[in-house]
Amino acid sequence: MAKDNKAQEPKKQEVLQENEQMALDDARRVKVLSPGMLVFKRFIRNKLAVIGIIILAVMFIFSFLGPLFSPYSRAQIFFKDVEEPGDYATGKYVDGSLFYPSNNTALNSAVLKTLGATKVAGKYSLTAGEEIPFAAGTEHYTLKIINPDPQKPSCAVYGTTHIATAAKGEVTWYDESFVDDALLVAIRENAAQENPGTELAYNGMTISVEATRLEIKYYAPSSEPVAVSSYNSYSPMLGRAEALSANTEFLHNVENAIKAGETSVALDGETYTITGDVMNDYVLSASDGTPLFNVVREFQSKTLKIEEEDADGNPVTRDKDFLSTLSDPTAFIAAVRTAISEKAESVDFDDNTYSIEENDTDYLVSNVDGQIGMQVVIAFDPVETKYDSLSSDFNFINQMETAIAGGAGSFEYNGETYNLTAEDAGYTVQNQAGDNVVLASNIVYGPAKNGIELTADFANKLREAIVNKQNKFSFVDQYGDKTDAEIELKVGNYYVRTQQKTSLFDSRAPLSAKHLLGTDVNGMDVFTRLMYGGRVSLLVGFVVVIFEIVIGVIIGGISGYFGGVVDTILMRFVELFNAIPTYPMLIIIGSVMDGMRVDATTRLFMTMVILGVLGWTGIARIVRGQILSLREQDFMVATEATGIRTSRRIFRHLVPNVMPLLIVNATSALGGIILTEATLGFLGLGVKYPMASWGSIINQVNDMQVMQTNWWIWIPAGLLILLTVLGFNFVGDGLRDAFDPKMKR
Amino acid sequence: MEAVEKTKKAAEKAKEEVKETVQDARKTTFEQLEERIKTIREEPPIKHDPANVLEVHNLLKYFPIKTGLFSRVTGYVRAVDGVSFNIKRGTTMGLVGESGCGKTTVGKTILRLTEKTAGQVLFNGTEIHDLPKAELRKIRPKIQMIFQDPYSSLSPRLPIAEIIGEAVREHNIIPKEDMDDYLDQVMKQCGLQPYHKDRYPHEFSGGQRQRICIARSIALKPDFIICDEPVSALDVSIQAQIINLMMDLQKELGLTYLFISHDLSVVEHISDTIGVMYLGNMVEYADKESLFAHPLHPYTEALFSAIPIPDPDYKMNRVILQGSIPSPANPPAGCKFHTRCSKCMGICGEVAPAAKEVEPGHFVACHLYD
Repeated sequence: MAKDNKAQEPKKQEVLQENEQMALDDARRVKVLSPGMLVFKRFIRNKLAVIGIIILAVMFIFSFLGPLFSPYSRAQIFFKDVEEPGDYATGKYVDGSLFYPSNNTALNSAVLKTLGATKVAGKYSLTAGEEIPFAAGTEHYTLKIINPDPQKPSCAVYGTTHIATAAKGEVTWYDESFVDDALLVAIRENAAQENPGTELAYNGMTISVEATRLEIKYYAPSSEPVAVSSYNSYSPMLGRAEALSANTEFLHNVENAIKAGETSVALDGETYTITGDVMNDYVLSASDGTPLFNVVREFQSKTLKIEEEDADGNPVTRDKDFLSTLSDPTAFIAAVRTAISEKAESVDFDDNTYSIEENDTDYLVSNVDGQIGMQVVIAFDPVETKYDSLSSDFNFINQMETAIAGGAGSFEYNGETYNLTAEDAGYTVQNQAGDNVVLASNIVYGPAKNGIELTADFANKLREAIVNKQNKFSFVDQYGDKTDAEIELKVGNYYVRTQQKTSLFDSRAPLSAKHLLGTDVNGMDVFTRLMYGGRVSLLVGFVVVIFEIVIGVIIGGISGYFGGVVDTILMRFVELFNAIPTYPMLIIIGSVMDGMRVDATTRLFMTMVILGVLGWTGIARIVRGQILSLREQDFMVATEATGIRTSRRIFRHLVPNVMPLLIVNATSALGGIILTEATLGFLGLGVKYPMASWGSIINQVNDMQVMQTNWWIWIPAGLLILLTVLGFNFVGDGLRDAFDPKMKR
Repeated sequence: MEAVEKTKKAAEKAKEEVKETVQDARKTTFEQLEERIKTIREEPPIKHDPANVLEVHNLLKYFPIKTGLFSRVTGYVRAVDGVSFNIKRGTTMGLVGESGCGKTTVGKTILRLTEKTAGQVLFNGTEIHDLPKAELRKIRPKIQMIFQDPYSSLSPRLPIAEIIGEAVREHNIIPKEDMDDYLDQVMKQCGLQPYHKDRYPHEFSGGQRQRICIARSIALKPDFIICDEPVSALDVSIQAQIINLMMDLQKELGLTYLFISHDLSVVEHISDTIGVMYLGNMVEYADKESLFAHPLHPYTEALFSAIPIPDPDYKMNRVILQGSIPSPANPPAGCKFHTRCSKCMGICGEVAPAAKEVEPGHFVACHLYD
């Protein structure tokens, strides 16, 4: 044991000696770090500060680099296409007399009144060929009954010719063609009577009489009807084209053929030829050379969302018709036609490039922003024939009504024979070639909106559906697309609805791959807005703090270094600024800017200036206090005693001792300014659309529904503000600890 | 017992106050002070003796008292009220006195850290207060100052090398390439190690900091150093180190010191001549030996009787001063010390005593020696 001890002792001593040497040999100490490195090392050792730095770094990358990678722009509004049932057409079962032309309402009501006068026990009592003169306003007419049906009579309305006037036994002729001795005798006889009556029958003709106190006028009916009153509505039929227009597959084949540059399409063994070119329109003809369709390209202009400045320079988003934004729409359309014919993918116009995208047989023309401005579609326009005008030819209608009344299977008009076939909902008329040319029906219909052209197929299918009391049917529309329609009967009218595409703001959409954080109330991508908002929020923070530091250091520095009267005056000035109530001031100025319609950029700038102007006093006081206390320190007296230059005294001795305090205060102030800006934004007084800031994003929570159901609109912005302010505070605390050399961690 | 003493003291205090109010009527008026400043300003320049590094004649430092809205000067705080002394090359003059008697103000006014009110301060025959700013900056390195508080007299953000070398570089005292070696040498002289260079002041103890302060001063190769209570903030063992360091440096570099202190034993150790100040006035000025052998002024006597002697058997004959030091803004008329003087005479309250050379080189301002 004793031996062991002895053996160990020298060893122990050696170890001790070594330790002592290590402790004493101060020269071997690790090289002392530079002050900057020392601060950095101290800072890095602080876990919270590192967390703060990481938060801030993420925020900066998110806000300043994020938008570069974002596929969306700052105030891009998203739309969603909604298929909604929309009014397409209205139809009506005619149960009263219908009048052609329908625009002369005075005549129409006069006819109905005249017919109604013959009603006995709710039924018309008329005889075929009966002529009833009547007056409408100052004009005289004659009604000629075609169909004496007690339920649904029809009649032709003839105008009258003034033939003669009798006054004081003298007869004056007005129309030479009627001069006739026998008629003269009849007129004289009539005029001699005490009561001449209202009509005078002569030679199978009814001459209407209009007697006044001084003279008696005689009118003869004209030979051609001016209108027809009937329970049927007349509409043209397309003949051969009609069947084809209902055949979507055939129409599509035609479209493809045009696109491929082919000149013929075959259907059921018959070959239809296509003539024409892109620059003009095409004509689709049957094999016997009869032109059936004009195949027209329609250039449908879309509505664009255009950001522009209003009269006061505020940015607004306006809906604008695409073509109206161009200097010369006709030239643009010609350019697009050329581009399509050359199969070009873009067209240059007005110094802009518009892309042309093929979409099946349609073409989509988009502007630089990617908004679709124009759609080029193919429409089938039936070639007009002489038969088309028959449905508005009163003589034809007169003949046809006569044929219907007489139950005849055919009638002649203008040297042509037409065959009449009774159908469920009316009568069809075929020409000699067997093509359907006119339809008489007691169902009338019309388009519900501008831009809708009702096809013959629609008319047929609608009629069928109404007759069969179906509430659903499908038809081929003007673009050759098969469309489903629903019919609703409401107060005697049939409302036809189809599924129509409507473009709506895609607002408050939930999270999706397209919108990582959904969309906000205005249909803008929340994630993108957050990135741009962060830019504004952080920028406001930094600019304001730099502004405050510049003013604060200058005023505080002058005040502290020179002291005396200068100090007194400057500090009173600081107190003056401190006495300005910040929030009322901000709210007032915000409202004033609202009132003056200041644009978003100026507004942002003004907000920064105001925050800076109201906030610099704190920094000025800190700097002044610090410099005042430093000035009295012995080391500052020592610099004077050793004769060191004033500039060196300020920049080498004063400033380094003020900087840490300044940096710490500025960092902590940053958080405060971001909060103030957010508050302003939340109150709706901060930056405005199309700019965003985190505060103004939260502003949308004012809508109760957003608060309750759309958390993704406001929670992320709130979290970002929270994290950023926390980050700044952590970093500020970390900096304060790191800058303090006495701090031992 | 204590209570009785307390009441006694209170009674005495009351008496004192009555005395003061009676004397108020005979106080020096503002006009008289203005007159005094004017007279001293108009005095002819004193003759320079090349043996003296510093010559101070009738130095006056009055701080104006401003009142009212327009800050009109209505009075003066008479911090330094006519102080005269000379310091010979290579010697140390001790300046002692109670706290607030104006010792530090004398030091700062000599350095022109504050502007004098009147009087003359000649450094090597040059009136420091007449120099233009640029000239003053040139002469700065020649007169240095060591401060009382070593903690606040070093900039916390500069490394030691920078603190010591900054002014050296500023005045181009040493060529740039020799700077490092020079600093090493200076630091070694002051008992610091060269590896201390990169450290910051907060890493040092009080004594080491005071060494840094000394190094900063002597690095400028000064002729004259004002030591403003350099050891009063240090503990006794360190005090001795610093005092010895200063004395060594004096021998080595031929320095002249003005050693301001209220610690008489330290002053006795380091000084060649000693000036005793009371309320802005120099009441006694003599060689160390002469002064300690037979102090003449009653205030000096009282001061010396307060020196503790490390001998338990020694019977102390303490002269206890009554009351506290009066305000320099409103000092008593006549001899400023008469309110507390044990040998006060009638004349003392009337006429201010002038300094008289009672023995060769021993000046005293007291009516006892008229």
